[in-house]
Amino acid sequence: MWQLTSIELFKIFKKPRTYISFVAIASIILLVQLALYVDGETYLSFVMQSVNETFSIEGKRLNGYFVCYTILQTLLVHVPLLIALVAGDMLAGEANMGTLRLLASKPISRSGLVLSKFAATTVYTIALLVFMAALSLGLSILLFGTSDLMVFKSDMLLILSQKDVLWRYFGAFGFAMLAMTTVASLAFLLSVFAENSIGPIISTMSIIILFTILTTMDIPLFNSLKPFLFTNHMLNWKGFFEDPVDYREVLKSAGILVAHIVLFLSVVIFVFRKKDILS
Amino acid sequence: MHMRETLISVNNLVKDFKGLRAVNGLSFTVPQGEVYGFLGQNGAGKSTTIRMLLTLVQPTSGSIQLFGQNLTTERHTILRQVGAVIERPDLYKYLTAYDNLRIMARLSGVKVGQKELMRELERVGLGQRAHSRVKTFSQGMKQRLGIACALIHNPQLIILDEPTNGLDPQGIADIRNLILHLVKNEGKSVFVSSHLLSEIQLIADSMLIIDKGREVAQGRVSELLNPSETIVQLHTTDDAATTQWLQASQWQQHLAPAADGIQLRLHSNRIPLLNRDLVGAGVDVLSLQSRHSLEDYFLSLTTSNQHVAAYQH
Amino acid sequence: MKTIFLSALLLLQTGLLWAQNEAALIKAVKAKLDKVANYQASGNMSIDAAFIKAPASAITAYYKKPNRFAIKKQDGLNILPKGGVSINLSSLLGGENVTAVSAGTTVLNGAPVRIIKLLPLDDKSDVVLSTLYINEKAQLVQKAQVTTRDNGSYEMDMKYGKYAAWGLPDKVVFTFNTKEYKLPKGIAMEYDKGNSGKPQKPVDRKGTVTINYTGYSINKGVDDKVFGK
Repeated sequence: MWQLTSIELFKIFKKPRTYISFVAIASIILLVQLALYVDGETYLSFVMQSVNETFSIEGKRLNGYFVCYTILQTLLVHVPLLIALVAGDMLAGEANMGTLRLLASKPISRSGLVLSKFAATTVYTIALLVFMAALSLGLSILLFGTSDLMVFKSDMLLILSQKDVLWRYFGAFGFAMLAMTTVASLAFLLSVFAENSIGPIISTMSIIILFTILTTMDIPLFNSLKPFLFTNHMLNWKGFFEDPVDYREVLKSAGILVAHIVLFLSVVIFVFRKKDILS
Repeated sequence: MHMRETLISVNNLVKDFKGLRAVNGLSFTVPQGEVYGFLGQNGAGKSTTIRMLLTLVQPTSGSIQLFGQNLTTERHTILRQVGAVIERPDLYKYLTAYDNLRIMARLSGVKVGQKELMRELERVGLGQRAHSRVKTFSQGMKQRLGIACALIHNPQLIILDEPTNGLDPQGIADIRNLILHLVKNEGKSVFVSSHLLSEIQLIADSMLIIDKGREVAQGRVSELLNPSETIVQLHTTDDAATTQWLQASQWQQHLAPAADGIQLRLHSNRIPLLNRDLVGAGVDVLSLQSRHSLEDYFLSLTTSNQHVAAYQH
Repeated sequence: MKTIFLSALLLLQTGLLWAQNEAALIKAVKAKLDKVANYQASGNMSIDAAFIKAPASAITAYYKKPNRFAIKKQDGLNILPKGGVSINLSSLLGGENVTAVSAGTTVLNGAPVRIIKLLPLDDKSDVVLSTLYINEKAQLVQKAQVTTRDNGSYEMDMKYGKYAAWGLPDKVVFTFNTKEYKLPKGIAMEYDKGNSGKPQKPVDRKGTVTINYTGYSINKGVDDKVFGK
């Protein structure tokens, strides 16, 4: 199993498209950092319009923690595309290249093949998020320093002591890994039905965009659907920036995501085991 | 001819695809240590059959045994001893030839050192290009790399699906020589499919011909291509007069109906005698062509897709 | 002219009899405070407001005569209600341009206090009116209500202890009015639990900042730099 996974990882990291994600993430993060570095105060005064009427908040407001939060806030919504880019290619891409029949005619069980491919996809997902964490948190701290973190909620401004922030980021990135693995498992699921990778990548994104629209539109009918949409739970990395953290809520979301992963992966294994490989 | 051990044993194999019966009750046995030809037009069910031998496609019914073991239950043991090139040998284009080969070896369950990998690449003439990406390769180079990948784990049985497709004459000859080499010098068994009789005829010891998923003929190539079943196509200056003369002669029993010109069926060793008789009778022969009836049959499949009633094994 | 007239009116209302007393009391209180040329105090500050939540944090307060005052956090963000907190008693009592008007007496925390209203005579002063509740015996300001031109109204409640002799409180509670909190669309940085329904309007629009001073270092000198600008 480990050997199979290492082969899959070798293939992933030899594939040029893998690095698209890393380059895309690096450039988005660097752009946001540059923008905030040059003109962060303008952004802050925009966000803080109403707060500034009553309070004066002084100090390093535009610190690494705040920049990281801003980056995650804007970027994490788009990372699913980058995950789908690789995950959607795992089975469909091989079918398209004609290499799936090579794999499936080797003395490896089909379930083992699926699991090793998924394991490799997960490693890729984690690598991408670690990379993202290093840039968005590490580099931001280097560039902007640290101070207390301001979290602008819809009904209040929460200020978290700088000593109380780092562990939240670890939690948030850990949660984001789980959320992105869910995306990967969805792309993976769609990948098993397709013979080229464009289909699964686009349908994964379509599903996520659709669900996200349902999540963000404030319509009572859709609101009642919210608890059932995994995309909604994917945003619960923000739960780590509550004070105190509502662990019940975070764990509930995490549980729902894990359930999705298990469900999607089981379907993939079930389908792939029975699939006639004709590509 | 001595009896060889049975390598592949297929019994009443059926595969349905959404209402289409792609393989319809095929049964055949492949002996060890020879080249077994699998002949059929495109769409006859060859690829589906081969995919079932490799567990890529699940049979609707019927059984397959390889090396005397059930393919379903002993899949891993069996596949470890099988190497295959299915249709175009598609490889990981973004990887080098060397990496492709290394991965395939590991997937087949063998650990192969750098030296052996390079030796294998050199054997198929890719030693110089070992570290080039496959996307820069020509079709022939990919085909050779595909074969290297099929052979790297030293399998007993090699399954080649249309290995000469898209190759130039030199490439085709290379593959033919390699197949013969594998069987004669390395003691391997090769199961090779093709839609060209000429190709199978040159290398195979036994063969199976299928059409529309059904068996058409099966047996030793030497027997199937029996010289007693030669078809002679005759063109003369006056075909009507010649036919009249033939009907009155000892050749009358060999005459066969023909759309164009005159056709006779006879043993090939009698062709010189026929020729002499015709000349003796003052017939001006424009052309006299002979071909084997199996070939004729096969030609009819590929050209008009109509069965020749005259030939049924 | 107008202010003088207004002051006169107030004076008439509260009775001339008291007039001298108020000025004397203020003077006495101020004299006590004037013993402090500067101080540096350490303490703990917490904010309690409808729409802001910040951790309680250690702070250092600096004061230098006549009216320089600053609150600094060792690190992190320094959150203060606008205007309010940075005004201290000395500056309230400060300048000579103030008219003191007595507004009677009351009982605060079980102790009798005099209510004195201070009207700055300077038109440009940010403070429009301040009401002081002074413990006459101890010569300490227990409570101050301040109305400002630009920074709303606020209230300061003070408790004295060890440093009562210097007129310096152990605990100060600032109460202030908050304006409505609104976030530009699409900025909210939170997870929607899906059960929020309509956002609730904060009922209580008052916020408090509580500072507990743990120790003062008085008249040991304070570097001007801490006040910035």
